[in-house]
Amino acid sequence: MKTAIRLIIAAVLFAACISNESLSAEFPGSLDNGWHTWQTTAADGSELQVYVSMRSDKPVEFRVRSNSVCWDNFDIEANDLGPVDSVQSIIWLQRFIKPQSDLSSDALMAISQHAGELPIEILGDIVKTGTDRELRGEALFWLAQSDNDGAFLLLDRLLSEKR
Amino acid sequence: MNTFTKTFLTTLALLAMSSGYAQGEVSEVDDPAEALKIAALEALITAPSDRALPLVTKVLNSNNSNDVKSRALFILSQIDLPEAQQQLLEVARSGDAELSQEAVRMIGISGDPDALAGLSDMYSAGDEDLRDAVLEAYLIAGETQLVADIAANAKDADEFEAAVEMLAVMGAQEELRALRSNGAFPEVMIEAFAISGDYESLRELALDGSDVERQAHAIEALGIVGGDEVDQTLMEIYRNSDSEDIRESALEGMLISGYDAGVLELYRASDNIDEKRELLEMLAIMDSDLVFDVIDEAFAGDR
Repeated sequence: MKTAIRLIIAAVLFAACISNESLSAEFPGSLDNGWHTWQTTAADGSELQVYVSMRSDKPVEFRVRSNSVCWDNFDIEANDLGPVDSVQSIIWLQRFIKPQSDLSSDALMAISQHAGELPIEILGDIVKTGTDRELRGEALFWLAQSDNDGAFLLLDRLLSEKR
Repeated sequence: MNTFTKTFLTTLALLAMSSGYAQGEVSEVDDPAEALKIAALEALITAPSDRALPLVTKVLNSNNSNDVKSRALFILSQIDLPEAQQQLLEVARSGDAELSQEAVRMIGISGDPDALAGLSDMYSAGDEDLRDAVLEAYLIAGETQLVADIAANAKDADEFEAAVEMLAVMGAQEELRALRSNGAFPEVMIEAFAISGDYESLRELALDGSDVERQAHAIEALGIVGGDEVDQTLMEIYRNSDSEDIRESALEGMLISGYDAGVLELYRASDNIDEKRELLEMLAIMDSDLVFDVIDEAFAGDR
């Protein structure tokens, strides 16, 4: 009996341990209501501050602040999550790009401001295979804003399509 | 585009997006590839100039529809590089009439002084459609003097009229007055003074009895300008003129300016039954509530 109880307790603890590990692996994990922020690298190599507003465990608004993006009168108290890898930040934001979602525009803009080629790949995929016309237009807009060689190669390809 | 411009445009874009404005939507053109091209071109409007120019140039030099090329021309007009203006001029001089006219308008939008000056030769050599496009470009760019030059050097009445009408729309009172002092004075000038709101020039003509037909036309045109000064001038002309035609023109002017109070004042001051009838008819034509004042006064007299 004692052995059985020990086994059950051990199994419960093991399950809890696995569950905790998977939660912490998913950046940024569970967030309380209110604004949260983290720092990552912007496309121009400077610091990019990403802000997310949470309500009932769901993000309701994204904002970014960097050398090239500023918001007037955006002065809020946010829970600082510290520095975060650019890819991790992008992948988390990408989950919120969905057709007909109010959050998509914010997420797309936020992703476009991150460093590396991943934002260009994501924007390019939306342009090439997306089904939401508005979202495709916005992806094109941010590609053209990027000043990235890959982005302009893609635009060149689009514009060179034969009739 | 410099960093400041880029930052500014980015901020604008963010503001637009935050207010729910759907920017950059891929348009609903029948051909999806064409729609995507147009959207890609429109996206280039905020791209760095040196990045955008080669792509736009490529579109213009490739086998694309005129719809796509027209969008490319607009983007070109927004690129602040001399090569972009040169490219616009080249398309303007090209054989495709539709694109040529569009390029001319885009030169107007760009507002580049050198490119605008380059349109003068094209105006002289172009057909009517191209000449209209050049005038539109000057209108967009607010180049009143260039339009005045066209009017001054017009080869025929139609060309003169088109340029004068454009000056009127532009509110170019000084240039119109200069044309008048040059001696050219067809009827279109009176309309142009009216549209441009030049009360002074019209008043001078309205009080000049050397040409009764022209004077009558100017009096009526005063009504288009409207305002207190015009109302008082029309009253002055009506009261001081012995000519039936001139008095009628003054009434027409009041009709156009909607000065029913003046017509009522003239009605009350008149002892002539025919004149009173005419003034009452005018008030009725003006759909003025003051007619009821006259009726009430008449009934009050009976009581």
